Amino acid sequence: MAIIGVKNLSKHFKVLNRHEGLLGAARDLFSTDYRLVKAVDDISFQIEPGEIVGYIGPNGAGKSTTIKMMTGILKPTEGKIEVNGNVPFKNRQKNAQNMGVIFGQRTQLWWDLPVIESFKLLKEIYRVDQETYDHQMGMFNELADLKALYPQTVRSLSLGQRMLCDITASFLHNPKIVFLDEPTIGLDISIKARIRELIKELNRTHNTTIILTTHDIGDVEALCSRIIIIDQGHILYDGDIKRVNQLFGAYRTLRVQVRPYKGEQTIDQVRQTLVERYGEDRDFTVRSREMGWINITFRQDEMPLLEVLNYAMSRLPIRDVQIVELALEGVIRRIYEGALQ
Amino acid sequence: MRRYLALTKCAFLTGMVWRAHFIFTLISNLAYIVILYFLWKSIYGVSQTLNGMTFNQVFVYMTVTSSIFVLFKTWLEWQVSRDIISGAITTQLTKPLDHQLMVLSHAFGRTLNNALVITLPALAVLFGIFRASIPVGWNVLFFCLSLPLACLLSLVIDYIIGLTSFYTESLWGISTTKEIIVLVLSGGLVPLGFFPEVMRNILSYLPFQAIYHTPASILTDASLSLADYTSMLGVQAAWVIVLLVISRLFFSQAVKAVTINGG
Ligand SMILES: Nc1ncnc2c1ncn2[C@@H]1O[C@H](COP(=O)(O)OP(=O)(O)O)[C@@H](O)[C@H]1O
Ligand SMILES: [Mg+2]
Repeated sequence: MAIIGVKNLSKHFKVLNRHEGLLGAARDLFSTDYRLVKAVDDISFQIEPGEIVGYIGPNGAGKSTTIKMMTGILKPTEGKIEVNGNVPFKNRQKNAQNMGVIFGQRTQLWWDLPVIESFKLLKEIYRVDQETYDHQMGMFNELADLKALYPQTVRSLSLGQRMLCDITASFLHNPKIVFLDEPTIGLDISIKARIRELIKELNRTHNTTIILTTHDIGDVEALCSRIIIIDQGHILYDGDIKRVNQLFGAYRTLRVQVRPYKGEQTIDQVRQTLVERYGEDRDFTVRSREMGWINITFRQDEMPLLEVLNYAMSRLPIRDVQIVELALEGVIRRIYEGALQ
Repeated sequence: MRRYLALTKCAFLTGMVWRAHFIFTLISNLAYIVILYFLWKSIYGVSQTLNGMTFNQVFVYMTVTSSIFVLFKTWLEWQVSRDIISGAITTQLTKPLDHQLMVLSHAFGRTLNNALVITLPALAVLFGIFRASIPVGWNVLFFCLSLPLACLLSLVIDYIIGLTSFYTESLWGISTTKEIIVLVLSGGLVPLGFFPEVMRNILSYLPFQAIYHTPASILTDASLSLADYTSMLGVQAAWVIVLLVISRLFFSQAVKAVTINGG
């Protein structure tokens, strides 16, 4: 039995077309010039208990809007949703009792109070009994080592620490489903890894169903066996991660810092060096977006990452290198181009 | 119920963090009481009574209303408005809580802060330094009953004002207008006893006088009978119920029709 069922779901927003300037603002007061934004447009899927599903897509794809409908905050324009046997918007409070939600840019913790106060409040809000509370807190402490943070005020936590607390807090009442909307946004790699580990463990210990939205492919690769890719309100792909895995790695970008840096001349020098090794007709680009740093983007199946790296290091005056995280946009472009057909 | 009390507790604890805010409000409220004293002293001059009220009555009445004003000042409408406009309301709505009760219990925590840090000192000054006197009898009991009703009424009106942010992005105009209307029509600025008969009659049908005038006059007006007290409380309770219902309808309508910002 599916724990979440979504059928032909749409959410359309009416947005006022605003005009510029003072006169424009005055006009807007009486304007009926609306534009329709189809944030979510006719999507369907089912999610089974215990799954971790990666719900991914670029910014503005409609991920948060879908989550808001599944959590009963937004009323769908059309279509059906059932979560845990409830219609979320009609039974918002009942539905909320069995659910945990994180919106990455916000916090459910009390900014001015010690962390532990927020946990105590959530205990009351969800009517968690003392025994469960102690057990859960013990487990969180084992997984994420949070005890040291409890007496600190939330405002004094780093973003990563706050997110660790927020995520554990959303599991406190042992919910059946947890929605994590961009839980790793703005975090550095090492804390991202800790958060992924935590999510994985929390899923394993209670078989919690987790819907994770992100635009970082790394999150999905680490956590999910199934992904749903959404773009401009439509579902592009829903299925096993293995099939798309190859697409993720297709293009890689290497950022190199070359010294001395002489603008176009240095960029040409890098390009020329790569042409010498791989020839003119290979599919790669060399660009500079930031003074001193040069981005080399290439297809991994034609030019293995480590080989390019070693070669460049041996031939160019490179001071520093970075391997850029996989970009989702490239994957989506390739799906449109028919890569999964 | 315990869930909402836990919220009140967190709001109270948060309030205690803002010590500077309370100290300044305390000082300005005390200064206001001093000004009231000299202002009304000079208005009275040599007269014993004006509009049937003695100087002592007016002074206590005004001090009580101004202290109640500060007591009920929880910035609830600004909080609600900010949550709606910034989209922070999404997090609140993912909890198994009723929005109205959640906001009210939060504001109630703020009221407790105010009571402890601002109102009690003001009353101490009133009776300790200015040696103001009130008739003591049933009126004190009814005052204590009427105050929570007045508080609820004031908070629910603020809640409704805050909810307008679902439709408009600027709360300033509407909140200031409300503030002035409430203050003038409720007896917060000048005792309602100083208003013309016709005005007083009209005002008695509006909810505003039930916020300041009702508790203040119960406390200070010795001519009121037990029957007066009960009917005044009845009016307060009726307004509380009506506005609670209206604000619930308003919320469920607004949250359905209007979208929530931020993603
Ligand atoms: N309250 C709203 N009013 C108007 N448009 C909105 C609103 N919320 C979201 N949108 C639009 O809907 C689309 C999807 O937004 P969202 O679901 O937040 O995307 P994501 O979370 O995938 O980045 C975007 O184009 C966004 O501008
Ligand atoms: Mg989003």
